[in-house]
Amino acid sequence: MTSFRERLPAFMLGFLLIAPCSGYASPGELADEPLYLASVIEPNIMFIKDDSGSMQWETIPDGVANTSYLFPPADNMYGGATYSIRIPSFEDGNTFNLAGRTSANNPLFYNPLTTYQPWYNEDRTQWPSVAPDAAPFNPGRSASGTLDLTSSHQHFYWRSNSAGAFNQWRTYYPVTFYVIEDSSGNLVSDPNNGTYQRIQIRGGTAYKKNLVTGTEQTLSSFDWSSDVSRTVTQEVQNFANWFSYHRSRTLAARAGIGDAFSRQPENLRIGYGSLNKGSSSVDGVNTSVISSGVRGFSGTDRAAFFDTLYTSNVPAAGTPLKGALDKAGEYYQRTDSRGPWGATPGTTSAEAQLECRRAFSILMTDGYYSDSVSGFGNTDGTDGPTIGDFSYEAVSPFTDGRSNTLADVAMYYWKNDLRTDLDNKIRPTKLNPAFWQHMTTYGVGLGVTGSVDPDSAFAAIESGADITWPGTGTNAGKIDDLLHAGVNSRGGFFSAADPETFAKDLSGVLFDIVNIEGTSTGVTFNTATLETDTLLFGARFDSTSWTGDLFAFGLTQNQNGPPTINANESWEAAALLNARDLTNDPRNIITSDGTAGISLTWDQLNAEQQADLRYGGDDALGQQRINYLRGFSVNGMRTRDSLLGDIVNSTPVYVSRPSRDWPNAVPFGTTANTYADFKAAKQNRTPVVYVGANDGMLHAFSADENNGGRELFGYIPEFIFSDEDDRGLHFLTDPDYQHRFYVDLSPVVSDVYTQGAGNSASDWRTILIGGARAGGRGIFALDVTDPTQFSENTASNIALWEFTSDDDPRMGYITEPPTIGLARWGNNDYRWTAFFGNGYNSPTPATGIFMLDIEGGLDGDWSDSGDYRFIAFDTASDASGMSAVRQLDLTGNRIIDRIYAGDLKGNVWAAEVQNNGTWSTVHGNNSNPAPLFTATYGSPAEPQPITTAPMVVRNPLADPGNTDPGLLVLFGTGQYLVLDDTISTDIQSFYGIIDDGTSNLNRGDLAERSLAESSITVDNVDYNVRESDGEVFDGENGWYVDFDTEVRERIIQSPQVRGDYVFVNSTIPSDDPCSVGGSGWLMAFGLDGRTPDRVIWPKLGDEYVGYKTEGGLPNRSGFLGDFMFTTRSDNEILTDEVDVGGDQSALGRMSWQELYD
Amino acid sequence: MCASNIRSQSGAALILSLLLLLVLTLLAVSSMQGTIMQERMVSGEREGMQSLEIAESALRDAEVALEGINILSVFDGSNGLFGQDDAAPDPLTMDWSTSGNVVAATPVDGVTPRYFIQHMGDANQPEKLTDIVVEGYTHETGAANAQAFRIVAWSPGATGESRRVIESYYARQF
Repeated sequence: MTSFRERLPAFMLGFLLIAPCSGYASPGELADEPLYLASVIEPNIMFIKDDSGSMQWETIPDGVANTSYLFPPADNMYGGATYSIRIPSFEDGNTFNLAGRTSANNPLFYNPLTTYQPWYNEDRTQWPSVAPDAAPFNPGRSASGTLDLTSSHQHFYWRSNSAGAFNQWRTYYPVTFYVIEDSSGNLVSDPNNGTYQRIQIRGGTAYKKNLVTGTEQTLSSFDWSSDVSRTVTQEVQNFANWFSYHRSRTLAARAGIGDAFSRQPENLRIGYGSLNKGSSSVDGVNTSVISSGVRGFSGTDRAAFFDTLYTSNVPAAGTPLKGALDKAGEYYQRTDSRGPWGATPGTTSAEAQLECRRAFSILMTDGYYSDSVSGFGNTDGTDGPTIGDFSYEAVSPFTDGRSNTLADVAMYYWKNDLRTDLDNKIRPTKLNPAFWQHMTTYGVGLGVTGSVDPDSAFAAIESGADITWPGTGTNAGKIDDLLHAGVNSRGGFFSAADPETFAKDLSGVLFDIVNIEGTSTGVTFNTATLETDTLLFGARFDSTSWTGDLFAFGLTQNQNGPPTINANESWEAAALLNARDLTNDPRNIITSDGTAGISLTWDQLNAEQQADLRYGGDDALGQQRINYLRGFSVNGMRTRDSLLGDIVNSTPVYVSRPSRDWPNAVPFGTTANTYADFKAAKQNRTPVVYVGANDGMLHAFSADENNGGRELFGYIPEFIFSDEDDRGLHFLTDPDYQHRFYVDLSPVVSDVYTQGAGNSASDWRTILIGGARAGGRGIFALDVTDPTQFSENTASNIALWEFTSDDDPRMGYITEPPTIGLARWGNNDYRWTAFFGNGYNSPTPATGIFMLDIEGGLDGDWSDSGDYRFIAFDTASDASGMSAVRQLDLTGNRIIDRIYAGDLKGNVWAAEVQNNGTWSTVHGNNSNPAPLFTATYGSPAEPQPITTAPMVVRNPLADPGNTDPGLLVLFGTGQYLVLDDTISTDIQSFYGIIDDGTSNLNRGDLAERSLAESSITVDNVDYNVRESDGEVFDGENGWYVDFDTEVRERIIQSPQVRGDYVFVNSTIPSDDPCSVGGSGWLMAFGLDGRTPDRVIWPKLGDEYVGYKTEGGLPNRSGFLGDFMFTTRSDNEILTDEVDVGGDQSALGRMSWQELYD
Repeated sequence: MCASNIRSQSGAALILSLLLLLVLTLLAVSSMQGTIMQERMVSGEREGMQSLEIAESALRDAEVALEGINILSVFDGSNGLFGQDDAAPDPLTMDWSTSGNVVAATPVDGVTPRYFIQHMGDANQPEKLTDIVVEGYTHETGAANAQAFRIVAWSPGATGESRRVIESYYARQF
């Protein structure tokens, strides 16, 4: 039921679409996230907060105002006893008053430059703004009562520096605070640089009094800085929110903790406790300190965390930090399923306990510990037990001479295996080499500082520099001990005095813990061979915040072996973008309105684009969304940790001077304008790296020496816009954003002789074709000839066209970029053409290859006859869709005359140009195309899906009988697109099929090769290696290798041929959650499918197919001369030296002669 | 009677033998000269052969060194390594023994040959397996690129009285 159909205009197809249905053999719904992230383990975090009495205090540091409070405390306001109700008198001459009621002196006190936010709930909604005439003393405890901030009150117990403690009824106005102003009216923090001003609201009127001159004036509004100005009512409201939500240490800590935790994703398991909590049963075991065992951070457990945070009491009790950390350590030693290692803690689930779950404790305190522990000895000064091949050595910066310190407690639970009964499978990190179950401690201080610099202490872990830890008898020494605990357990430490920094830093700690970086892209280089200025370009993403980065690394050559990748990036595009001054140096964001390129401004967008941006609101919201997309933060929209979105599958492309090998003759250009002319004219073109990101844009970054990493422009394809729920650009701004793919396809760039945007004159142009991969059924083309002309004003010259499933419903999701070449469309009709398989899940099921005339869409549509063609191979309702294509030139004139592609049913199809310029199938006939080969396994034969472009080379397996056309088609099978693929255990294979004109080949026509694995040790490194063996080739139509030695192994990358060897990496998704991402093999087969006949991998020392890499899925390798760079899904970059020899005859000494006079 | 005969002898034998001696001496001297000439010719030829062989050895040294170079940018016109755009010296007129811009190869029998290498650009390659594939701006399929180099080697003879210069083109994959 297949038919070959071409030149069928899109409008005709509308009539065929009577009952559109998804193809049954389609792969299913493509995943919205990288598949290997499904197996990431939620870390355990025990958060212990300080509930000591000092948390009630309203000043930082201790004793700055010589009183505990600055407002008369309400009875029981924190659910326990309060301290002395004496407060500093409001006299301007009272230094205690100025010390406590000026934020420059007491960072806890009201700072008019800050807009105080009410507390955050688990879903980022906020508590209500408080009423200034009834501001709660503690919003978490309604019994604590309220204070009317708008009227005056009487108080009896005072303290001042001149009169000391004194008792007298005095009236005070609650809204009273001091600021220090310099001569030009700016707020400063140093009293020596300005004068104190008293701000007071009395009876609804605002007064400002200069304490030096003593004059007082009324104010109608406040202008605190260029950014912050308020009316009197707003100022009172802000003060009221500060009073209720931020006034004391515990209130400010709750605000900061709530802010930080409400930003966290659900893939954490959080337990919590407080220092002075008495003993009770936690998940069946009695313990103090801990009030809840770890639970998934979602649903009611998430809500309970916030409820406890905001409503728990603060008794007037001490700060037993050491005992608290000990309790957390004991908790992590539990082995029962209800404990922290259980599959579902709190339940008796029999599911296996994971060996690779990380355990953290966060210890928060506002002061100096007051307890002691025994039995730990000088743990950090003593070598640790040997675990595996690791043993803690008591060296700086870990060791000290003291016993039973907080650092000793932290070290005890780090250097000892907390679960000796579990395998040690924790993944070590750069900072933390521990692979056994251990506890990592983070110290978090509120307004306290020690004497050791935290940065140098943590730097010393790597450098081994000497850190002298002071004694723990002093207050500063106790804070140093908290830092020391963080260092010992390879955790972290920060101390912040002001609540804003506190929230930000705490958020950073949590972010560190759940941070998972990865990559599915390959690497690219700016040179073809290793040079001193060679840069390696790669991309990565971070799944916590769905941000990404494009980076460039320099390479350093080595005497032996592959070059070293420099330790630090030459540049990182995301950091540069975040640092950019968006107001004075705005980004160039362009899109297309369907007919021409436009800048991303409201008025220029078309109706559908506006509908997307105003989704759920009005035009003003749409405009705000534009601001957001341009990089500005907008209140109420998703907070981004970085402006550059995640780059997952898009391998960057480096473009500098024209570097194609087109001939200098018609039909390549014209005689007056040859490719050589273009090459000469663009010899010094600014190098640019192009990459697609899932922030909705294709980004162009400068790769220039001086300007590397600067974003030149971002292009948002029109087909990405959508006014549906959870799609389109508005979804990116949604605080509830769940990851989706946007512009995820690797771009492809080539030089073509074509008209420009809007059918402007024909010329040589460098064009880029990009797409959305799983993000949308479409591709777009840009003219990137001249990077100096990239700007919003020239948007109409940059955007060429887009082609989507609206133009032809047989267009599906494509996973590899099109190929670009010059092809013959008719007699003497040569056109620059983009070839691509129609992809998966197309609205109308079909399997075929699109040929787009690059000039066909320049008029804004694809409806004209001859704008594009579709070579159909399978039009049945269960057609699976065609994967990526390989374009070939068999005649050597650089004009494309044949294409190969595979489909998900395991068929390999080929099409070629006919004498009259039509394109049709090579095998079978137009009305009944036949595949070259169908890949199947087992009995009954199960098809093996082909998801990548086959590699095609001249057939070196000489068989004189089979010469036409004498091609060897190399490809692997396997699918990794939808969620079910991760668990598929179907056996996949690698094939080399000889195309000699025979059709409908199957496995029976091929020679079998079988894999054998072994372990070897070379230079003390263990490798799992593979050999492939089989009969000497004897006239078969090819060969196959089954990957039956490993479960779930498959090929999802296009193979690469170097010399006489074919390189391909396999992907083995893991079903063991403790093997992050999975593993894979780096392989090179001989072109006969057997072990190469030379030592391809010098480091293995003998002839092998390849070796296994574990820890992540290897992506497609990039070659730089004889060196191979392979990124892995866990962000490692593997470097290998490969030796493929030369093309023998063409290398070595070419000539010899003696020179005479 | 005999005595009178004796007295009448005129002494031609002496003269004859002197003449013979002279002839023989001349013969001996001239053959000596030929032998010396022969000997000189042989040693000159030997020296020339020797310097050719030593230059050949330098050429091999250069090829080995070239195989060990991983980055093209070292061909920058210094240290005897010239780039595509550099003007390499004329190997026949330059002063090899004193020029700093050549590479000294391994000495043979106390003679130090020298060479320089010039990078000539892409090596024209015969048909490759992969050259049917048409790609974009990357090295997608992993096809490598071969580079051509011109190596000029020079060696003096053992006495320094002779010299030989040889030139070779060499291609290798990068």
